[in-house]
Amino acid sequence: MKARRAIIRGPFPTVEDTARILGVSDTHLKELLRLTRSGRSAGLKKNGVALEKSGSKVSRTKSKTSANKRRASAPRKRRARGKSPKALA
Amino acid sequence: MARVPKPSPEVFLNIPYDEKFGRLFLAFISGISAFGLVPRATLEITTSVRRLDRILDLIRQCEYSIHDLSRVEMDRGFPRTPRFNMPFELGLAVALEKTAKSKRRGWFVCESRRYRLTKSLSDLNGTDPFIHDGRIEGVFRELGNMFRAPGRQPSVQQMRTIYREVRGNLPVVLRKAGSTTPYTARVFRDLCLLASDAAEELVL
Repeated sequence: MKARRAIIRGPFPTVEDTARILGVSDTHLKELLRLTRSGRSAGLKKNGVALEKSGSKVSRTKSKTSANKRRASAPRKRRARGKSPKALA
Repeated sequence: MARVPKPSPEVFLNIPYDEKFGRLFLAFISGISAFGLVPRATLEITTSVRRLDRILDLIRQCEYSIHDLSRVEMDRGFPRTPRFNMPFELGLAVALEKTAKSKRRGWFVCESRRYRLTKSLSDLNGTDPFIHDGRIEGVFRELGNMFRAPGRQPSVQQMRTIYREVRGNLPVVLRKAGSTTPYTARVFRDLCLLASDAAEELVL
């Protein structure tokens, strides 16, 4: 028999509530968040918007044809062949 | 009279503290936090004086408990012994739930392999364990089977994003605590705070 699924209802804790439950001081929490938030990826946004965006990025990369990849990795001189100076600017 | 908001449910996390379990340890912290729950563990108990009493107190104050028995096996050190802490704490949690005054609401058993529990702990026959296959995705999937948060149900992708955030910051937390292992009181608390912060930002 599978254990019954537990239903979790709010209020949901803020990070300050969690710190209080765990017995962590405000000063320590602020210092920790300062250290870690500075390196936080810009993608961490509410509502999973970032997840959708990262998904579309993946598909864009996949849609790159091998011809495009070859062109992108070619030397600058070969890439410039047949293009106007304006296009290269 | 104004209604006093209910405190956030705490989850007693009964897991093995070994290197091989490191990624799943972070996955459990991330997933539990994503559901708006606060993980607790015996790691927080730093003193050895009356340790058992403090473990009992900790289990008693948590509404739920998760017991991972996937690494109940013989260790390599001499003399070779199985690890009894996890099944022992599971027994304590089950017994506490049966007491009349308990506010505890449930306990969940996790395993990495199907049917292993039937062999190792037949007293639990009739209770299906949550099989996570020893993978972080499995942990997130099974947490979704254990808990339901109407209006705030986190997706596996959101739990994974929180996990990445926590894992990415692990070196900073370890350095700050002067530790080489995540299984210390201070590192555990910091990881819970990071997961809670990320969950607050990511999950509605």
